[in-house]
Amino acid sequence: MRQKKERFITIRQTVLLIICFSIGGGILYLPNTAAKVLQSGGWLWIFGVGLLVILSGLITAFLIRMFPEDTLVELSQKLLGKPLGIAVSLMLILFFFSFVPLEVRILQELVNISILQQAPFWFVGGLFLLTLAYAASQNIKSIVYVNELLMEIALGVGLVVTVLAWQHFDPVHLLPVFGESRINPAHFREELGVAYIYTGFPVIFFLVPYLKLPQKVVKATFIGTAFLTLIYTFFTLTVLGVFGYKETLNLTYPGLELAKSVNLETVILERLDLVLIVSWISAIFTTCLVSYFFTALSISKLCGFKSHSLVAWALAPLTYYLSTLFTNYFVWKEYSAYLGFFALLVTVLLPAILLIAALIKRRSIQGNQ
Amino acid sequence: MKFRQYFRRPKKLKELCEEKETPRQQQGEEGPFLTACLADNVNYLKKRLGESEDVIFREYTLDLSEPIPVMVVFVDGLVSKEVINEFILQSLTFKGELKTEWAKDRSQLLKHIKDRVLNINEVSMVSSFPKLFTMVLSGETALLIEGHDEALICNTRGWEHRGIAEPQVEAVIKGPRVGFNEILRSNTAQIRRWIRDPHLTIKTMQIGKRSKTDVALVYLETVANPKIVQAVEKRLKQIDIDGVIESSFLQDMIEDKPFSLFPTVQSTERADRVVASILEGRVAVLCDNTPFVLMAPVTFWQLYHAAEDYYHRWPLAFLLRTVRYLSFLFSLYLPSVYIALSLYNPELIPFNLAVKIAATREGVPFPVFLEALLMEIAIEIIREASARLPGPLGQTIGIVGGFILGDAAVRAGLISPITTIVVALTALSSFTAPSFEVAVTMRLLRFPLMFFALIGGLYGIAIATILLLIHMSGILSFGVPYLAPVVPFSLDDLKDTFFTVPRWAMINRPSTFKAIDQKRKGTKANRWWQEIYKPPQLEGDEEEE
Repeated sequence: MRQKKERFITIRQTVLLIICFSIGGGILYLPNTAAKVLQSGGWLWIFGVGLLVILSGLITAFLIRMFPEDTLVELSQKLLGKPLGIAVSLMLILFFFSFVPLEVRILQELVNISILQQAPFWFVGGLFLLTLAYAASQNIKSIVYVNELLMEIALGVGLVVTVLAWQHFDPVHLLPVFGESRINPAHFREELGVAYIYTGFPVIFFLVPYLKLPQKVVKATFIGTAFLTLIYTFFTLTVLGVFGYKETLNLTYPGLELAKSVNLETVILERLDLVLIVSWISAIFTTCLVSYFFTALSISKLCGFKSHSLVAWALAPLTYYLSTLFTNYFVWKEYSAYLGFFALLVTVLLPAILLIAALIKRRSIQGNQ
Repeated sequence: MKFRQYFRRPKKLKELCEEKETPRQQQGEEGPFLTACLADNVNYLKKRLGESEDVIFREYTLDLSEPIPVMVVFVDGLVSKEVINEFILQSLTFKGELKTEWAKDRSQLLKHIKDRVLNINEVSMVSSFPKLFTMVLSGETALLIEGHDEALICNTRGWEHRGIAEPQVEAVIKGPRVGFNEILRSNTAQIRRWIRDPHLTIKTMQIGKRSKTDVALVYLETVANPKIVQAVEKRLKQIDIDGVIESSFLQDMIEDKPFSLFPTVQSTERADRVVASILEGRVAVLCDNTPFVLMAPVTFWQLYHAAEDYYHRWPLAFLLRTVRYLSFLFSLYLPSVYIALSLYNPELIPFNLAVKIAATREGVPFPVFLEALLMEIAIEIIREASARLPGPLGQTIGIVGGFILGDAAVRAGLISPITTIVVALTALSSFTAPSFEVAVTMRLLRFPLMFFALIGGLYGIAIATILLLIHMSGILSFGVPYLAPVVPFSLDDLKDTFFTVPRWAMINRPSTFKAIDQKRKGTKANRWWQEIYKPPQLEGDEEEE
């Protein structure tokens, strides 16, 4: 028997879910990639990609508004037929899931370079995955609520640190505005890999049946993606302005260096970057939680399980194994670039295909009538 | 043994005929029932109650044309004897002219006595023994008359009890000094004195198979959300226990998350708090024999609100709340952050302070975690000891324990002074919580957090915090999210969460509780204060006019 779903997610929560799914560990090395692509004009590149993402987000939202009752699992089967639909759902599930091992790995590195220098992966990653599995086995209500809370904390601390860093801001660092060279085909991987950090909005594929006002999903998506673009652009702008692009290229985590550069005499804590990391654990956690939870939920939906909590626990060992594969920075950096291509496929191509299918279907239904 | 009923011997026709229900049974009452023979009734009563000497059977004779035996039954100590003497026994000696008229029709005698003779404000009739027992044992007086299979129950309740006093736990500097006492009726009357609204509903029920405790559900019918009221009522009715000694028995049985450390029902001794919560659209559950009243639903933030916040002017209330939330963070995190920083990340502490801490820790034989843990346990022991000892002695123990023990430990070099400061500050902070339950929660949570800090430093604390937040966001108190109005966010409700706005700006009730009537004030509410604040023209006005 299909249970009656409770529609409780507000617009604000949708926006925060989109943002929190996007903002994870990726933002901390984003300026590095940006500087590689367009040198001092890197923030423009980020802004440009953001505009593209807003556009495809809007397309997705329009598509989803037509089917306010279905998640992607049901929607794709309706539009593309059962086998193709399942394939599409599996692709999206894989896409969602692929974030988790990567983020866990990034977390491990962050913790290792700052808080616990020698902590082994089984401790940091293992504890994190256990927490994740416990969290994901809860119902969707607590997931949405805890996202709202954790995201506010992380965003608040992040914004404060970024704004404080403006004490070292030098506009000269941003010149020339469009960078020294044009876009370099040799850096193709980095250029498109940026898309990976933007891919928050597919989460609405799974959210629609729970939205309080499903017709407002377009508005929510627009606010979410636009806000996201602004945050990324502002952050990249700040980092490039503070360090200049040449120094940024040499920094692995420009975000952390930014926090280190802030010195406040009045604050009781000596180093602000640790505060940023501690609060950023929650940002990484929300990203993982959303992807992990919706992976578990859709798998249990595809298989027809009653509850997703078993799937959530069962995924933990797999995730642990996958994240041990990323042995160092270079391995996962490359992986994240491939993930960027995958993200482009899912966020741009998939909604377009589905929208066309939906329009054809609607046309044919109208034709029959 | 449920399966037994399927293997029962089928009933014979004769038995089925005998089992025919009497009319009284059809009314849903349980037997056995009173008979028309007084001697039988009295025998039954004496068999059940006779061995208890506090149950008093007073035989009496009605002086009609023929003498009619009457029995008055009550429990000594639960009744007011003056009422029995003056208004029952005295009025049973009828005046002459009535006698002849009544003697003719004996069947109407009970009704006559009820309607015309007894000068008691509350008289009812019962016909079954279980009901009779409950009534008599709760302080009423039963009047049995020969030839009638019903008994008259007269309200004569009156027993020794504590007067209304100032609550000990939740004391205030400013505000009413009335607390509840142990009498349910006097407690409901107190609420009535605050809210003179005909829509104030007081539903009474009896809970407890043996104690038969009176429990009252109090809410405003036109304000409280009926779904919440129904949920509370339904859960209360499902309770099946022996006896209800304190309202916390009920609290345990109606809570949403019984295994959680966080209370999802609030309890208080202050009448004004209960009234305020009823006006917010919440439900109060009053229980006989205890001054503690339950209020549901509750949000986490409300547990950190004191009644006083609303009686001071808003700037002071803002300050008080800020201090309280700050000390909430201190009481939860201070020891664990101290452990994490000194074990793993001393570079976070400013240089001069770090040197100071290192210097004081010189020669201390314990690792920092054990040191903090020992001190925490010592503080808990001191707290418990001073709570158990009678009044003034308890304070002495607190001072002796706190000052002398701490000082001696530091001088002996067993404990570093900085740990003493941390632990003492933590203990002090935990006292600021206005609600005892949530203070206990924080006390308990401190230890796992310290453990997480030991194994994972700041990372451990972050993970523990995330776990805690996941747990808290999953809690619903009677359908109301526990962390509301922060999650789910409601801007309007923030007016009374971290700070308080002036009274005139509190136009709506908290939307969290989904009250039917959202407006606290009339439609003019937005503007009326501007009229009031127009200063009076003290000089020159009258001459001009």
